[in-house]
Amino acid sequence: MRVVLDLDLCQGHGVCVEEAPDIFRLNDDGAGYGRVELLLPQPPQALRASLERAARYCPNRVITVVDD
Amino acid sequence: MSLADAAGAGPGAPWRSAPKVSGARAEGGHLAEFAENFCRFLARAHRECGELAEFDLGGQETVLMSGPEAQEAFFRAPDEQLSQALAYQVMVPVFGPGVIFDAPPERCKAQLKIQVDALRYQNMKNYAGVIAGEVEDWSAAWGEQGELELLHEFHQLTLHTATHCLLGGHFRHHLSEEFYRLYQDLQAGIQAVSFVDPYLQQPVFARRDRARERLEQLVSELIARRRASGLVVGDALETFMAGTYPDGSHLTDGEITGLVIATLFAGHHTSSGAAAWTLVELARHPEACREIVAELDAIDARGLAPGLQALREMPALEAFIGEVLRLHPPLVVLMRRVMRDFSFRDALIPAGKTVAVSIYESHQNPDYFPEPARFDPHRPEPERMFAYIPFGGGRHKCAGNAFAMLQLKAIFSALLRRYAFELAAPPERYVDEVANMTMKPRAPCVVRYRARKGSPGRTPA
Repeated sequence: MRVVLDLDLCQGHGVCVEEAPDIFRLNDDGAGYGRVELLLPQPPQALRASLERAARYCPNRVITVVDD
Repeated sequence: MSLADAAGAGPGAPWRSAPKVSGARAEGGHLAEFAENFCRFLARAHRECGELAEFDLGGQETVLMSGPEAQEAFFRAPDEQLSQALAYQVMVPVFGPGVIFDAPPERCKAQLKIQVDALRYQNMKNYAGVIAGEVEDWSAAWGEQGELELLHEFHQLTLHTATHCLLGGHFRHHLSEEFYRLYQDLQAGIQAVSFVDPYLQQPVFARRDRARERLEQLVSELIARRRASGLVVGDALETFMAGTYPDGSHLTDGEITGLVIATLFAGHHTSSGAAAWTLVELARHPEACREIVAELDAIDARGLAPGLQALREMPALEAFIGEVLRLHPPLVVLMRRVMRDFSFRDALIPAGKTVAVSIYESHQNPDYFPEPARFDPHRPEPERMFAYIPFGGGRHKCAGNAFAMLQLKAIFSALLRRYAFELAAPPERYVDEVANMTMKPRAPCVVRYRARKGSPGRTPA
């Protein structure tokens, strides 16, 4: 399981960080919209539920979960 | 490299120009036809010319980009190539100097980021409570049955929720009458002629400028009171006051006022129009309405406390609103000014022209929405990105999209728990009003309501 981000779409709302703080963090330098960064590009199955919530509730549909 | 560059013609290939829409007049080009019914005009432009269609809006050559590929190129282009700010200079005297479209790019970016900060999780939780309370107050005296004129009702309700979420409950309840009058003067300052020159000597523009000045006084006084009291209320103003530029400096009172106005202009009419259309479609589709009521009853039976989490778990209501936004997108057209020559496939759009995307037209594409005129709340969202774009897309996508959804769900989950609705006029009388830049039903727009039997949370009269 891996996470793919479409950073053109990210406005740094931070919903993913609320839902899955082990997987995402916000790069927030104040110069513009914050941008999501991956702490765990290939998160373990145990984090699947929180990852899926992050993807579903992201206001800008930045996050895709890919099963290879 | 953007998709547009990648998709351009190979080396040495001649660029073509976007094909031109027929029927331009010597005076004003297509402006008259566009102003009369821009939905119909843009549909014709797309039908006649395809993916790219150039027309003339009173001297401003504008290229409509249609279909998900062209729309993706539009939304993914960087600001340095397609400028949002230059396409919306008409808003500058309304928002005030140095705010968003008038700010240097670096300050503009920081301001937009601070606006997003006001939409974060903790704020959204507060807003969910605020909206629920406003809906409660609004409908408290409705009684067992009656009629509502939706344009007026939702104009008021969303003005109250917006003011409350932006400036706090005290301001909303005690100081907002003058605020609403000033807001009206600002809106009246956006005229067709503003797009030609928003600084002409005209009484409406003079009133607009006085209103902007007085608003800044009101907001400054509120800021001073907040600073003095140290009160924490969890509204957007608080976030705007706390926000900083990269050098650590804070926004000026004028900039904070501008952000308040910009947020109100982005969210108020769009939300009130969407709410009016949602209720009309609910009254028109009793079957789908029953499904949503069952969803709400199931949530109540689970004992899920009202609030952000419960509002998230309403897929049937969300899909219904999604279909309302497809058929009646609150903002119909989005524009950008071309700063650097912009290519798409084998066509070149030179700097100086405007490019446009029609959200309305995009949502009528039968490749992605079979039988597009039919309202179908079970319609799956297209796999192809940038086909369904009620909030735009890319870096300038409406940052309030989650707030807008939250608000609509909060309003209709509360209403449908207590009332059933039906149209008060023949169904064909409920049509899009295309005279304004935001989509609403045509006035008057009346529905009847009656209390659901045994509806929860109602005190006997």
